[in-house]
This record gives sequence, structure tokens and C-alpha cells, in this order.
Amino acid sequence: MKKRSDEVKIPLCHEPWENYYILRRGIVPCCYGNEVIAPMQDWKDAWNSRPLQEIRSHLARGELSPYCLRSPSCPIVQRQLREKGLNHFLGSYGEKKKPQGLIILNRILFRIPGKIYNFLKKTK
Amino acid sequence: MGIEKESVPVIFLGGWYQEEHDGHFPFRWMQKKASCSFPHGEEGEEHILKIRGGHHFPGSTNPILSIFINDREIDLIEILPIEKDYFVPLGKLQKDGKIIFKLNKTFDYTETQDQRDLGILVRTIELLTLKEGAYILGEGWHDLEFDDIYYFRWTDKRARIFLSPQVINEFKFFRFYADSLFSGFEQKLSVTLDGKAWEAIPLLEKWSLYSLAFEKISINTEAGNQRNYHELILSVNKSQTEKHHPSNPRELGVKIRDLEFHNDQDEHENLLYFLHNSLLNYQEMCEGKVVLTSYPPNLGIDIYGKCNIKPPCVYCEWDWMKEAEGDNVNTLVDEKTLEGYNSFFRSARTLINCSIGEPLLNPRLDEILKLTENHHKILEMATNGQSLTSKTTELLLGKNIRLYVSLDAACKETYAKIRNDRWDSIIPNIIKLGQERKKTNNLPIIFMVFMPMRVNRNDLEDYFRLCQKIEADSLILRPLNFLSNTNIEIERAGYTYNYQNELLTQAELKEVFLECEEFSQTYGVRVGSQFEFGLNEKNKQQPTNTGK
Repeated sequence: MKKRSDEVKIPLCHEPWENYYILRRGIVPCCYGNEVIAPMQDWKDAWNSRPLQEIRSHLARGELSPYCLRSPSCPIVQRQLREKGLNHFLGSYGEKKKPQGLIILNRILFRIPGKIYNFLKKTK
Repeated sequence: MGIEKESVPVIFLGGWYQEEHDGHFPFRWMQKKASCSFPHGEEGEEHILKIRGGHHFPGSTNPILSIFINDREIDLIEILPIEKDYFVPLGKLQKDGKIIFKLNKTFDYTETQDQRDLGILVRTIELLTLKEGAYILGEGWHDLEFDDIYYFRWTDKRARIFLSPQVINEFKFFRFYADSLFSGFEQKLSVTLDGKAWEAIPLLEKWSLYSLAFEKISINTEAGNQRNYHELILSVNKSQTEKHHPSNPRELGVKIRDLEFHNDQDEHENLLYFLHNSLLNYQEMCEGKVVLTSYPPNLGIDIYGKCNIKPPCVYCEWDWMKEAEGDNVNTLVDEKTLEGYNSFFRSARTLINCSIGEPLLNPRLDEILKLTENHHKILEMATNGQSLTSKTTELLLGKNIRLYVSLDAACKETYAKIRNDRWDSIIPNIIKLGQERKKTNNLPIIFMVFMPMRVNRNDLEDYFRLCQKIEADSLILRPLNFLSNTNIEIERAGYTYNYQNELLTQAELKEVFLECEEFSQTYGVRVGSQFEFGLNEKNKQQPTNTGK
């Protein structure tokens, strides 16, 4: 748990207390959240639902929740992972870029055949 | 209702040295005794004398200024070694009144290195008339300032307001926006009316609207009648010292704007509810509670599920998102939906639209904007700018909206690689909005969004130029979402947009931040960075908000 100079304890991230997103794809607890925790129509109950309680519980202890770790777009998550040397979760964001050869090989083996397959499927 | 006062020109009589000039403003030194007259003072009205002055000798004892009208002593004021405004209620004046000023001391040669016997330095003396139903800001208010978005005044630790008796008779509540630089409700504002205390209000960080009830303050009407004015004192428990604003050495209280009186009971109760909930929410967060009785002060909403850019922007996971939204793609979200969020809506200071769609296309946009305006909510919306028609512009003007315009490009070629070929039709409409909002209090606020990617890596400086032309409030740097499993690879305008390749490395982003620092200074455009999400003020390093 982080502490401010006056010893007031504040969680690692404030979002699940201060923000709440009622979106068409569902309820999201933070602006970088990848997964929805409930359908849009359940906005009333999802605020104190189990998934949100679990996220708050981790953050209040000063640690990222499993939900956070599945939301790598979040700058807080990225900073935490970098600090802990877990850059590989972040791909090019973590400076580790795939070798160019591997990218080309990936295209030849998977992307191009995939595109041909999709094209043929459409024309049928 | 605003500040309504009349200022009457002063005529300096005897006891003043010749007017001098310090290169900025004129001033004159007072001798030990001096006088003024106000030939145009209005009979029967409450008058307040405003003296802007001070002295320049901090090592010496401060002089005491006595003020007399018709040989009756009105007030005694200690004059400080800084220049500031002093206010003296004079009561109801007769026409052609004469005011005598007397000092208990003057400064001698050893203190001033001046052959003259110097009293105090006076910049201006004005006679203000407190009109019916009006108020006058007294001591403790700094001059009007502009924070790039709002006009406001800093208070000192203590600030005084003179109210005409009609204000208390006609209005039940007074409201004002305040912006505290302290986090965690550390700063509290105490209010007294005619010396009677009102409870301290905890202040939120950032601009928030507060409403206080006169009826809860026991008004001493007798004292009020005798004086023919009421005295309101706002004081804060903590002031912003130099530490909080190194470029500004003043000791400042709190920023305040739009002080008004009203009779709207519902609005008053809503604002009290909002404040109570915000405080509770903060307490629950600090206590690490996981089941909350409070509601969030920021509510994410989804105004519209359809978009006018087809095919979608290259980085948009449109198909995946629309599949996830299912039947809700067509769910109508209008003003009734938002109000139907009940406590969530009531508790929210900010409504943040997070649609995968273009919010300005919502057929109920007018009604939604009226609702948010009536409830004093801030509405944040991102737009692609392509739906900024005359009609939507008209709806946006004057509303408390933070409009994030996502272009990510500074020329038609880059824009075509990311979106489509409509660049030439969008820019004039954004410029027009930037111009027209000058007539409507500079609202909506315009933030120009730039997501640094490989495709627009060379557009940054031109984007600053564009922001300068539009007179945008800020350029906002937004990270391209890190999607670990995306297969987005799109050919558009002769460019292959491969999502994974578009993500810049940390080293490249650092270069972008440094360039932003430089361009911000060059073009006078402020920069806000969403890369800093979750960092406290102390740790925010790049890019700093500079510019204008």
C-alpha cells in the first residue's frame, strides 16, 4: 500500500473506487479494463460484485489484481511490470521486440496462408 | 448575478505628495495627515472605501491609518509592508463628503533615504457603492486570473465579501466553484456571516461546485440593519505556500469563481449529496473497503454505438467490440437513461463517454447536453471531428464539455493512412468551433488527441502548429493500447498498418516526450499526457504541462 507524506494510506490505483463504466459491451471497472465484469443491464449490482471486490482487495493491499494483469494497456500495470522486470508481458512496450526474421517467418507461415484461406472462403 | 458596484473617482485634497510612477502604475505618498473628497457619491447607499496601498519598509513598525468622516472616526487599519487592498465600510454618505486620513507615524530619512517625511504609499482610492441585491469583494481577493480554461480569483487565507441586505432577504443559498490544490480533503473552507460561524466544508481537488444555505447561519439582522450590509468571511485552514507553486511567491488560499446566489432547493440538495458522497468515497478508498456505500465521482457512459467512419479507424477493434456489445449496439442511451442511473448519476462530477462509436451522432444529443448542463456535470467526450456540423457545433457551444478531438495526424496524407480522405472538410469545422467558443466563455474545452505511433511519428511538430491554429486548450498524448494478441494489419492509402509494429518502444516514446517539451514552448501549446495515468503530481515528469 502506498503512503502519502501525511501517512494516509491509498491503494495502488484509485479507479475501482472513483470510476465506474456502464458500457454497451458491459461493466468495466477502469478505463483500461480489458474484460467486462457484468452485462450492461446489471450496472446496479455490479458496483459491489465479487469481481470488483476482488480487484479492490488486491489494489488496497498495494498489489495488482489478476484482472489488472490481464489489462496490459494500463500505464500503472506497465510501470509495475517494468519495475519488477516482467517486461516480456509487454512485448514491444517493454523494449523486447520480436526479431525481424521471426516476423517475416510468421507472415509466410500464418498470415499469408490465412489471408488466402479467408479470400477463398469468401469467394465460395 | 455578479458583482455589481459603482466606483466613484477620488479627488485628492491636501496632505499628498505629487503623483509618481514606478514604470508600471502611478502612486503617491501620503503625509502624516491627508484628505480626499468624493463629490459624486450616491446619497442613501452603503459605501465602501477601497484603498490600494502599503509601505516599502519591512524592518520598521507598521503605521496605523485612522479614517474620519465629519470628525467621526470610522476605522483604524494597520498598513503592511506589501501593497494590498484595504476596505472600509463608510455607511450612508452625504453628498460632497470629505474623508480625513491620519497616520500615527511617518517614516524618517534613516528608514527611507528620502528627504521627505513619507507616510504610506497609495496607488488608488475608490469609493464603491453597494447596490441593492449586489455584493462587493473585500480584502483577501486577488485580481482576476485565467487558468487557460476558467477566469477565477485566488483568495488569501481569509477573504471578505460585503453583501447588500437584499441578498439575504431574497436568496436562500449561495454557490461557488472552488478548486483546491490539496488532495484528500485536507483543505477546509469555513464560512461566517456577520461573525456567526458555519461548519467547515472539506474541499475537493479540481473545480467543484458548492452550495451553502443562508438559513442555516443564524443571521444577526439587527447588526445587519445597523450597518446596512452583511459581512461574509471565507477562510481556509491551509494555504498554498510557495512549495505548491514555486513560480508564484504569494501565499494563496483557494481558487474561487462564479459566486452566485440562488433559490434552487433541489440543486442545493444535489450538491450537498455530491459533496457528502465524494468525502465518503475517499474515506472508503483510504480504508481499503471493498464493499462500498458510496458511489464513484466519475461515471463512464456509452452515448452511441454507431460510427460514421467506415471502414473504421485502422487501430479500432470495431468488429470485435461490436460482437462483444451484442444487442446493446442499438440500445438507446439518452437523457432518461443517464438520469436513470440514479445515485451513480447524482454522485458523478464527471461523465466520461467511452463509446466505441461517435457520440455526436446521438439523436438525443441536445437533450443529453441540456441534462448535464442543468446538473452542472462535466461531460468528457471523444469525437473523430467528422460530425462537427453547424448543428452539433451550436449544441456544444457554451457547455461544460471536454471535447477530445482524435485526429492523430497533422496532414491529409497521414490522416488517410489512419482514417479516410475527409481531412480537408474536418479542419475548417474544428477551427470554426475554436473561434465561435470565444463568444461562449471558451466552452467547450478542446483537447486535441495525438496517439504517437510509427505512422504519425513525423507529424508531431505540425500537430503542435495545428493545435496553435485551432487555439486548442491542450494537446493530449494518448497511448496506443497495448493489445498482445491483435492481428490488425490493414492496407490503407498505400500504407500497411500493422498494430504491433505501430507501438513505439520506451526509448522512442521518451524522444516523443522530449520533443513535446520543446514544441510546447515553441508553439505555446499545453501538453497533457495520459501516459502519466496513475502517477501522483510529484512523479509526473514527462512531458510537463508548459506553454500558454
